[in-house]
Formats: sequence, C-alpha cells, structure tokens
Amino acid sequence: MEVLQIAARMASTVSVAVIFATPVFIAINQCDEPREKVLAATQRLREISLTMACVFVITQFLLMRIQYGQIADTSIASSDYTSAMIEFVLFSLPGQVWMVRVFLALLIIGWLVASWRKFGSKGEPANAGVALMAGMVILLGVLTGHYSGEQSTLQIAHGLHLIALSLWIGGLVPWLVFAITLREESFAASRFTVTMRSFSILAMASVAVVIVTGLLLSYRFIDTQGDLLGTSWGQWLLIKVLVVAAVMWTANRVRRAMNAGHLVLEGQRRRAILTVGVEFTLVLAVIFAASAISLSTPASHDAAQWWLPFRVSLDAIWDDKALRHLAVSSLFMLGLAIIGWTLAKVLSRRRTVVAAWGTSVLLFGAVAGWSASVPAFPDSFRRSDIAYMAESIASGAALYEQHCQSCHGTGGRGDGALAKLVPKRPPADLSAPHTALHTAGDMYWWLSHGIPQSGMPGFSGLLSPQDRWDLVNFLRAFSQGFQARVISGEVIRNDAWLAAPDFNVKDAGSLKRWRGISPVVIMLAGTTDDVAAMVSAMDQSGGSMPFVLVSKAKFNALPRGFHVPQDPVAVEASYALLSRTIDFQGEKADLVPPVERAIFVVDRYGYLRARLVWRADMSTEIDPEHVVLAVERLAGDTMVPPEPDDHIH
Amino acid sequence: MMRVLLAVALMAASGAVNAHSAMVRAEPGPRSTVIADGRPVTLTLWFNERVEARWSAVSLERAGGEPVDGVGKPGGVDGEPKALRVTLPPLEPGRYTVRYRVLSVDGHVVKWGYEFTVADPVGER
Repeated sequence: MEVLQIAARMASTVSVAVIFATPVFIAINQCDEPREKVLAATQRLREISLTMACVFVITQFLLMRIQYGQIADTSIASSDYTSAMIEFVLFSLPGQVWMVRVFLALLIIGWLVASWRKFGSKGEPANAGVALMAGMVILLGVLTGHYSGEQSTLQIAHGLHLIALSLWIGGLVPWLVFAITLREESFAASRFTVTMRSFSILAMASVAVVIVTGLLLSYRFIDTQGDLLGTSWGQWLLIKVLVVAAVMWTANRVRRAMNAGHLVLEGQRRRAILTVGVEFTLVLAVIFAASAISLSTPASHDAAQWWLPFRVSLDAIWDDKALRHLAVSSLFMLGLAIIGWTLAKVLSRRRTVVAAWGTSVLLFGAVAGWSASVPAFPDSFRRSDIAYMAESIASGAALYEQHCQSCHGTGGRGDGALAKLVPKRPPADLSAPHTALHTAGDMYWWLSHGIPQSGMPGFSGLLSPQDRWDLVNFLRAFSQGFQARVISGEVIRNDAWLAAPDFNVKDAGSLKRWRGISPVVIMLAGTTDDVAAMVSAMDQSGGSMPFVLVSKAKFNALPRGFHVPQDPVAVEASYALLSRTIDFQGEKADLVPPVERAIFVVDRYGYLRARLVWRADMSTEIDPEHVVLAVERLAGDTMVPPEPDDHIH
Repeated sequence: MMRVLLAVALMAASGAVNAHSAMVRAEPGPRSTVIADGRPVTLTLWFNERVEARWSAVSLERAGGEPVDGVGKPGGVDGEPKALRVTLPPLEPGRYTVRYRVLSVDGHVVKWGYEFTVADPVGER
C-alpha cells in the first residue's frame, strides 16, 4: 500500500506541476516558426495538460481512499467505506481542501475541453485561466500542510516553495515537447534557443526561491543530526537532496552548452533532449523521495536510531582546549577552502586548481569533523517519551537512591561506598559540567546497557523504560542545578536557557497552562506572611500573575491567583535541585540541597529566569517588590526562545 | 553551526513536509491525580496544531489493560481548535492509561497515551 500511496502522490504532484508550468512556458515561448511545428507542439501540450488533469483527479481519489482507510483504521474494502468517506470529505478540513482541489482540477478539464479550438501558440486567456487554477490547486496544499498551524511567514514561504518547485519541474515537459516536435532541421534555425534561455532564467530563479524557502522551512523542523541520519524521514530527505544535486548538475550542463552556443548547432538537438530527459527522470526520483517523506513520520516526532559510532558536537568538546582549538581552526580553514573552491570553479577552468581546493575542503572537513566528534550510541538522539516534570524528577531521585548512589555517592559526586571497588575507572561525578553535555539519549543508553569501559552495569532488565527516563530527567535537573547557580534574582533580558520542570497543579492542569499567557511565580515553603506581603506588593503594582505555592502553612483560603501543586513534595524536591547558588552549592553528601525558602520566576515561555533563595542561616527577608520587578522586567524580552525541549506526543 | 549545515542539506526539501500533532498539555495530565468523587471526569487534551475532533478517538484502560466502558466521543472545545474534550465515566481509585488517536489537520493520524491516577478522597495529600 505504501508504494502505491507514494506513487499516487508523486503522480499527483507532477501532474499539477505540468498543468501549471505549461501555460507559463507557452507565455515565454519566442519560437513561432515553423508555424505548423509550433502549433503541433502546442496541440500536444494541450493533450498532455488534459491527460495530467485527469491523472490528478484519479490519483486524488485514490489518495483519499487510502488516506481514509488509514484514518478510519480499517481496510479500504470496508463496507461502509463510501458513506464514511463522503462524510469525511464534507466535514473535515483535509476533506474540504481535497474537495476544492478536485473541483478546480475538474474545472481545468472543462476549461481545456471548452477552449479546445481557441488554443494557440501564445498566452491566450485560456492559458492564463488554467495556470491560475492550477496555481490555486498547488497553493491549497499549504492549508493541509504542517505550516497551516504556523506563523504566516512560514505559510507564505511554503506556498512560494511549492509554486517555484512546480514551475521548475513542470516546465521541463513543454521544453521536451517543443524540442522533440521541432525537427532537426528546424531546431537550430528556430527561435527556440531564445525560449530555452528565457526558461533557463526562469528555472534558475525558481531554484533560488526553492533553496531560500527550503532553508527557512527546514530550519523549523530539523533539530539534531540524529533527525537527519537516524530516521526514515531524514534518510529519504538525504536521498532527495542528493538527487536534487544530480538534477542541478545535469541542468547546469544544458545551461553551459546553451551559453556556449552548442545547442544552436545542428546535430545537438538529440543531445539536448537526452540531457533534459535525464533531468526530468531525476526530477521524478526527487518527487518520489518527497512523496515518501510526506508519508513518513516526521523526524522531530520519530525515535531516531543513530547508526554511527560517533556524533559531532562542538559543545561536548568545548572544555578540551586542544580539541576546541583544532576544531575551530579547521572550521575556519574549511570556510576558506570552500570560498577558494567556489572561486576556482567560477574564475578558473583549470582542473588541477579546482581539484586542489576540493581536496582542501575534504581535508579540513574531515579534521573538523574528527576533532569535534564524540562517542555516540543508537539511542543518542532518541527523545524522551516522559515529559520533563517534577513528578518524573522526584521519581528519578528515588530510583537514584535505590540503584545508583552506592557507586555514584549520596550526593552524586562519584564517591559512593562501592566506588573504590569499581574495576576499571571511578564512577562519574554527576555534578560535573560535562554531564549536561551528554544527550538524554546517551544517558538512556548507558542506563539501559551500561558502560563496559567503566564497569557500570546496564539496568534494562531491572528498570522499565519509564523508570530509566525518570532517571534521565533527574540527572538533567541535578546537573543543570549546578549550572543554574549563575541565575540570580535579576532577570537578564533575552537570556532564557534553563527549562522549568512542569508539574501538575490542583484544579489548574499543569504549569504549562500559563505558557504563552503569563509568567508564573513559584514559592517554595512560603509562609502566610510571605503570601500576604506578595499580595500587597502585587496590589500596589497593579499587576497580576499566577503563583504556585508549595507550603506547609495552613490557609483557610488561598488569595486569588494562588495555586497549589498536586504533588508538593515532588515539586519541592525538583526545584530544590535548581536552588544551588554561587555561594552555596550544597554539601557533597546532599543529593538535594536544603532550602529554607525560595522563589522562582518562570517566564511565559517555560524558562526559569530568576531565583531568590534563602537558607536557614540567612537573616534577610523576602522582598516582594523584588519579585514584582523581576516579573516586570520579563516584559522587556524582545526575542522569543524555542520551546523548552520537553517533546512528548 | 550544525543546525545551519543541516538546514543547508535540507534545502529544496521542505515542500512535502507533513508533521503530526503532538500533545502539549492535558487535564488530567500525565502523572496527575484525580480525586474519585463519583462524578464523571472531563478529559481535555491540547495539541500543537488543530485536530479534527470528529475523526479522533479516546479510550481509557485500567492498570491491567482492561478497557473502561462509557468513555464519550471526543468533541471540540469552543474557541480552542487545538483542543479535544471527552467525558470519562465516574472512575474508581486506581491507575489509568489514556489512549488517544487524533487526526491532524495535515491528514495524518497520531496515536499516543499516558497514565494518571484516581485517588480515594481519604488518601488525598
């Protein structure tokens, strides 16, 4: 079924591209002699457009049939299939968009048939109408693409991308039809070479638009190298990019031959047709890969399986001065080599010069890659199924005490009671900065399979996947607590980097409910006086924001805007991990540093932005105005950070 | 840097991108606790993009995997096209798994699930 679905989608894409690009090609066509040949080519194109419109309609019906079979989770032979599909078409957005697209395709068929006699060699109204309707069919695809839920810039970019791609691939068909119809004797003498130049400019402009919009759109969807190499979506994408490169190389051959004037010579027509034919075949391969991509689970939603023994990460090697210098300098040299190779290609035709620069690119690329590579595992780029929540972190802390602290120590510093008995190398100090540089997937792999080099055992037989992810979430919070020491009570504008763990709130869903709406203040161990002072300060400032209070104090009724977590113990333990300061990072034996009272300011994007922490020996009191000022300062952020990486489905 | 290189590698490739809905929030949410009060429970799921309520399904299982009867048909939420709402029957204390199957606006189907707990009122913390 999948191959049929891919093939149908490919046929649908190509057919509408041909219908759209043909009138455009005819409009830029300068070749009007010999008249009978031009008319014959135009007539053939009309037949092809009509056929393509029929192909589009048929493949759309096939695709809808298959898609509804998947949506209904039944075989497409299901007995109530037809009525259920009609309901789907009428009442769902994908169905309605499908209906309009098919209706437009039927209009195109009607228009082509009705204007059969009027069709000529130039851009008559019939051509413009067909191009307009086909363009609408293409653009309607944006409404049911992923960018339909995105900002308008991405939707516009998506539309431009599809139109440019269609112009490029669809224009090859009328090109071939004209070249084949104009016989050898008339090919060189006709003005088709002028048309070829015009089309070449149009195709190059289309490719430029495709590249620019493709960059913009793809930046939104690929997060890691694992997304690209470790998922079927990413692998299809790589295949597509490689084929696109081959297409561009082939197209460049035609362009160079044309610019050199070879194509106007007699005897070159067959060669040109062959080259463009190869280009068109490769384009079909591109569309096949694109169709496969559209049917695969998108990379950022899939569990990447990394298959290389290493991954590239500048962050991970940054603390190693020698490797850092080598990586940065080789990257710099790589940049120079790429510039040199490009200039050599453009300015110098000497193959040895180009080859020398090309070798430099490979050499410096290899050195940069090697110096920035670190060991990797099949799970290295796997995303957690378990959200980064206080409940998960607290569960991970309990599992740590049960399974890990005998070696890694009660305080996670690698100094457990059994540490000296570990055969190969001492257990890792989990508070060290490098802990935060490993991917969550790396840690999941080690927890599952152990680290043979160090003697650490695997726990896959002992702990469920959820337990292991809980441990990963705990290790993340534990390690980031040491990095978070630099966060003070002052908000630094546009400096959002530390994700605030989510947690369930009584009668209010979870902390996430305020994402995109309002900053939230979390008070650990707040007293009745603290709450009263905060309410007073808020009243004076005229502002309002939600508070989440973790407190043992008894309240008859919480003030308006105050909430309590469902599991205050988990929230207190998790946020205490993030309470270490420059002055106090906790005793070595303490897994969770003791906190007398603390206030955490979380911005509307889900990042922890300011902290006020009190220990038992501190004499100062909470200054509510300080908190109000911190929240007010968040309004000065001018940059929207990415979503904190708590991807779950 | 790596993102830029990846983006370059991806150029010309995004035309056919279709992604799936992802749940971003739920009430009752993952690992949350609901107090058993003998009344039906309203379950709301929020996604990162619009979903088609009519072609989505939600089911509930007890800890042993046994399905819970009486789960309503999911419907939309007024003013929130990215949300689904379904009424669950009154639940006995225990752990439950929500399983949902939603149709994204891009025509793709996503299946996923998570656990929450129903607690006895006496045992409330």
